[in-house]
Amino acid sequence: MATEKQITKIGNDFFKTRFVAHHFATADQEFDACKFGMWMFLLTEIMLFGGLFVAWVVYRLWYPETFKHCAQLMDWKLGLVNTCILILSSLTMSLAIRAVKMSDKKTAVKMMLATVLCGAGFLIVKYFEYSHKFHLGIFPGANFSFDGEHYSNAHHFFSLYFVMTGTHVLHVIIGMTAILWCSYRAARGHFYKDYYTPVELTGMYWHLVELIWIFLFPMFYLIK
Amino acid sequence: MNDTSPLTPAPQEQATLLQAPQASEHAPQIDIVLDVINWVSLVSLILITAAMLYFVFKYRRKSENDETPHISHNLTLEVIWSVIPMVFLFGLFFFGYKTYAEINEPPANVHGVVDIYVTGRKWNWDFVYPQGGKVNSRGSLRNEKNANLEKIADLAAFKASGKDKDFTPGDSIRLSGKKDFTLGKNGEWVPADAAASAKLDDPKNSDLWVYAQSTDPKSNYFVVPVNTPVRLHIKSEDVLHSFAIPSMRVKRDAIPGNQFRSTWFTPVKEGTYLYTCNEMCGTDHSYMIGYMKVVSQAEFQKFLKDINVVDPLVAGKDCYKNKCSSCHSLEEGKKSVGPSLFNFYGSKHKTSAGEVVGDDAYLIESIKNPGAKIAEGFPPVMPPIAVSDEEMIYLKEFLKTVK
Amino acid sequence: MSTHDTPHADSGVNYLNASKGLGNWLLTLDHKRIGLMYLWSVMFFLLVGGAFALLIRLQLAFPGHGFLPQDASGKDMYNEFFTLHGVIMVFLVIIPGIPAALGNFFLPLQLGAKDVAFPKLNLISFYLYWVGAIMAIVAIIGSNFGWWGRLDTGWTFYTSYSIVTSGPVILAVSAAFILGFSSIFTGLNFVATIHKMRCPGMGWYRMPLFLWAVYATAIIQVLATPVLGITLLMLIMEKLDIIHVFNPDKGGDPILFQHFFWFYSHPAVYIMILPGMGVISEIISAQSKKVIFGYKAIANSSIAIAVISFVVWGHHMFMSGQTTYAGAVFSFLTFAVAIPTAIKVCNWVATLYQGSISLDTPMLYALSFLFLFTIGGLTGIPLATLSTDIVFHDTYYVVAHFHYVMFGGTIIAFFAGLHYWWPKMFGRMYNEFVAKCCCLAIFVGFNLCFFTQFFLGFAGFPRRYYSYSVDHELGEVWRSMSGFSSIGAMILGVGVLVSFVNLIVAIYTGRKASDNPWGGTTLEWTAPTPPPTLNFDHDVSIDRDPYIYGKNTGHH
Repeated sequence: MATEKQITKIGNDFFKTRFVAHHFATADQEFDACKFGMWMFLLTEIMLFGGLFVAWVVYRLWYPETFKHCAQLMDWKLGLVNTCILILSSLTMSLAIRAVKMSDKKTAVKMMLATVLCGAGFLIVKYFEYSHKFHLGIFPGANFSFDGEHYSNAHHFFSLYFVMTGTHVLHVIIGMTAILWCSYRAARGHFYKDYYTPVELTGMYWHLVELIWIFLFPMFYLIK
Repeated sequence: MNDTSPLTPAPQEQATLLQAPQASEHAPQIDIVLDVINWVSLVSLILITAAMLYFVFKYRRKSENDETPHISHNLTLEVIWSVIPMVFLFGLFFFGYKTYAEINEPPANVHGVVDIYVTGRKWNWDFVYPQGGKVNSRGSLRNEKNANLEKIADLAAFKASGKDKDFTPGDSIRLSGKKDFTLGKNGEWVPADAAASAKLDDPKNSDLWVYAQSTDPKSNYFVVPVNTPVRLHIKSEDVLHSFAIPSMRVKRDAIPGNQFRSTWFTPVKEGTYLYTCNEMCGTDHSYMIGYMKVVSQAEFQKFLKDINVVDPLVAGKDCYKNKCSSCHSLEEGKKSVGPSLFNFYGSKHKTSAGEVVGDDAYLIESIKNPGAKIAEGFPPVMPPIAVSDEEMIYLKEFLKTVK
Repeated sequence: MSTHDTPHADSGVNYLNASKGLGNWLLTLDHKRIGLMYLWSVMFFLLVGGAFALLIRLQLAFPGHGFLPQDASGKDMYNEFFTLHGVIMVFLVIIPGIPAALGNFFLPLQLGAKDVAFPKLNLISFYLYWVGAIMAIVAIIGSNFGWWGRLDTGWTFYTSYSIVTSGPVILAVSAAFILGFSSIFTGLNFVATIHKMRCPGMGWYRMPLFLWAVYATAIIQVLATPVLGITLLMLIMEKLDIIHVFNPDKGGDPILFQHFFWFYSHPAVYIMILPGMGVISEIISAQSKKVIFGYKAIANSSIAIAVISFVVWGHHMFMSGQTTYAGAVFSFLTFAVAIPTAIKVCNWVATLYQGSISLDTPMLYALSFLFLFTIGGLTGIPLATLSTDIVFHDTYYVVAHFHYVMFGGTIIAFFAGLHYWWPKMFGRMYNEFVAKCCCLAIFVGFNLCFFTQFFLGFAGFPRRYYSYSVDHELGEVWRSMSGFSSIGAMILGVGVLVSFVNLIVAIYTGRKASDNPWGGTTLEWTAPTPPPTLNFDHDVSIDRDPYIYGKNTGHH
């Protein structure tokens, strides 16, 4: 295993030279394997959310009236704002990867931080949505109650809402942490045109997180 | 040691290694499918094993330098042994499916069919006859101890029998003539208080049931008439159970919720048959068993009379009066808070989830989970109503007459 | 036993002694060491799970009450026994058994790679395995200290009993959740490794069949296990009263859990059996010194099984009031999955034709596999057939069928693989005579234990019964067959235990093994014995098929 420190100079920036891990033959093989592995991981994420999506479909088919009624209690404007924020963040993440590929350290770090900011914006909007629901007495599970027309199965809609968006929020937080870590390493000069695997993989993950929201948004806010 | 019941008369026909008694009309139908599968399997197994052993024997290694031919594949052979199993397998599938389709769905309106509502709970079965009357499984297995207790005249005789060693403080017993006692903390039997006696009476108390005696051993059996189709409507009150009568080739999961799941059979041999719970349901899963008696039509009528305690229509009307009448009328078209229940069964109802035919499932769902489908033109205001399964059966019988 | 190569010049450095100290083992990134740590863990848990099985058989040896207390505590203890037997055997032994232990060790070797694609992830999988295992152990210990009730749901955690029981369901389900992720990461690692790290010259159809089997397994692990994860997560939230998806009292449906659960768990039984089939393909070819018959059919049937396995889950719910139509579809698809399996069996038997068949221990196990697995497969037919499933659903027939596939198939293949590869792993030969005696004991004990349970199934003996009476029309069969079954279980237990002892003793006292004691032609036999940390002492590339026995090709 190569541990010897070497410095690569590209333009005016200095980067830490990356050696291929011992069990790979070439850097390309390493990059391909990592990217392939990430695709497989994204598949598992899709299957994981798939279970929840199926639960949503089943319950919507069973209680269509309740679901229509409950969807009217959701604020689609806030949902739309969040959708825009996430799409914007996907753009900034793509720009960050582009910058890394061009060994442009400064832009890369800026774009990654912008992505994290977008993620934070998403969480803030979500916070207001959740606290509004709690204020109305709409809690997940046993404490569920709210004033208004009584549908005895409304709790299904909202518990699925909390669980699915909650799982999604968890993914957003994990994604933000990963991007922060990448930006730290990028600032230290770890990534350049010959080595940017972690940034690429984090980007893929972030796009999936955004994609899942693209499905969640109509399911809970728009379909009436 | 044994939890066996001396009340069971000697069974008529014993199971063999490869077959439980064929006591229902469709049992031979199923067994033929099974026989065919078993023969096909046996022949395949013999062919494969024989080929394997023959090759192993014939081509066993003679020296370290044996040369073997390079046979990578043989398309003809491979097609043959893909197609032959395929033909057999899909043939068996079709055979099995056809039989199942014939026997699975209960007959819709066969004259003289006997309906029984089977409700499982931890850990006993209720068998409710819509003619009014109920049997519970509990005693039918474990009344050896109980029966003996019932025969014991007093406490002295009870202690002399040595059976008191089986009990722990807090247990209650019932001796001959409804004499009830409770075992105190210091090992002394004291006359049971009203609560303990009520517990012995209450069939829902499964812990105490071990020692409680049902009033009539006959009522522990559930009874069906011979040569008559029997429809079982199966449901659970708490967790999953599964009701099975091996000798009748009948099995259906008992599922908590709004629906009775139905299956049916026609017993063809009089006798006593074991039924079991087949789905893990907790501590006393292995004791959710009992006996079904197949008797003549005359004996069955007598049995119905013996267990009859309520008139189903009266009980159903009571239930309606107590729990439904404040919001639902019985007059045609009369709107109250909710829709009228006139002609509920069989007619079509417009609801938020589309048009629904009035049947058992819709009735039960509407009572237990009113928000699921809301009648058109009415607000979704009905709360879930506590109606026991037994009440529900009588309510159904009653509503069927309102038209 | 044949010796094709001279014993390897002993350079003295191999993966076992390359670095010393517990820390070096626990933090190792070497796939062989990780595989070995998995192996010890799996063998340990096999004995623990087996002990629970013996307790179950002891309890059921005679009608009436067995040795357990005759009250609620005894019954709950019994329910805990079969639950833990199931949980341990399924999640800690059979699923990781062949892929994570033998697969980890031999996948890179057979590929001609230096390691798996993601060594760190591999180590993380191993530690997740132990986190899950420890949670399961805590669940057992806790109930004995009275921290919570006994875990008595059965390994399937069916709602709605799992919602109401006082047992540590949340803990056990979390353990299964974590073990699921261990399994996902292992599968992900293997798929990436097979896709990207085959040595130069190794095309897809030049991979050993063991790798095809592991590949198909890994695909299922990656695609199906997350569904189990989310299902168990929903069950946990159900227990915590956050959602009510499975609770019938709140408008949910307990059967929905079964759909979710079996969407994973039916493919999961192929996770369990496919690697075993791979091991058997290797051994039958090597021990007959003959090219495997129908390589492509065997390889592709693994993939076919993996694909069809995703659409058969409904056959676990034939008795739950499923419509006849839905039942017919699932029944048909289940029959379809039997075809690739039948093809495999025929190919294995055909490989024996005109071979040079040795009867060393691995081959004895492989031949047992053929016989037992065929029975296991054939007895699945009545369970897949709609009308006959009425007779057998949730009876001991299911138990017998399942064990014929899982023990007669997977565990026997695991034993075959252990005896086949042990010399490569440790450079030592085990005592052949003892190994053969154990193989015989296991074969006899297993058949006595489980063939009798088919008869119990015919007589309707329900699963998971703590005790049984015999005073009814089915009683005589229940009594006699339960007794025989229990005797068989004890013989089986002894066989397993002694064969483990035999293998472990061999590490210390066995005679040195050559690099290629069986004359195998797959790449792992070209590596030194035991292999060095980076597997090969030369650059690996191939220009040939994996099995090159026979007149036309000659030996390498």
